[in-house]
Amino acid sequence: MDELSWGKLAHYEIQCLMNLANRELKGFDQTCTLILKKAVERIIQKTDVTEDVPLGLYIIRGSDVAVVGELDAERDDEIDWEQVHAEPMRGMGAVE
Amino acid sequence: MLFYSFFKTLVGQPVVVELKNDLSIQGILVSVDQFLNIKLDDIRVTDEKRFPHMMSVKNCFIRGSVVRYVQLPAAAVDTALLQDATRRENAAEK
Repeated sequence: MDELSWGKLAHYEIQCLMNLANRELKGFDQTCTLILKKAVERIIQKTDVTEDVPLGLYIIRGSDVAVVGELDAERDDEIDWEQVHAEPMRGMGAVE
Repeated sequence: MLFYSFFKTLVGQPVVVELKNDLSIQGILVSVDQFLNIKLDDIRVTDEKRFPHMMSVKNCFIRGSVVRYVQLPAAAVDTALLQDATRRENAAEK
């Protein structure tokens, strides 16, 4: 997984899709298993206000990971997440 | 391995990756690995109204197993060469 320079990602703030949002990536392996510190679940809802639920230290199984992205902290602060609404995302179907 | 090599030739090109949950992400292809995991830079979600979740994300890693389509710039693909390569690989398997 050198190709993807995972190492570079390790200390950035990250956002992990699949409902799970946020904070610090502490570790990973070749199957995409993630260890998040100060994880926060950001629940964007259809009508209700967006909720940020603190989860603490979290391990996510690689097969359940879809996207890992680096957050632009500035851009994130500018967005009024409480006013953001969306339908729930669909699942990925049968993913091995 | 053929499509891994093929995607490697597209590094630096703008692509759109559509995931199995209908989320489409456009960005510059940074790298691909053997699982066809994809790294994109400078990303934007195509339908930001429907999927506002990634508005503050600037680059991302996409797990190969959740990709449905990759839209490529036609000019960056040498179809004759690709056809040739697939034929050769097919012949080698027999």
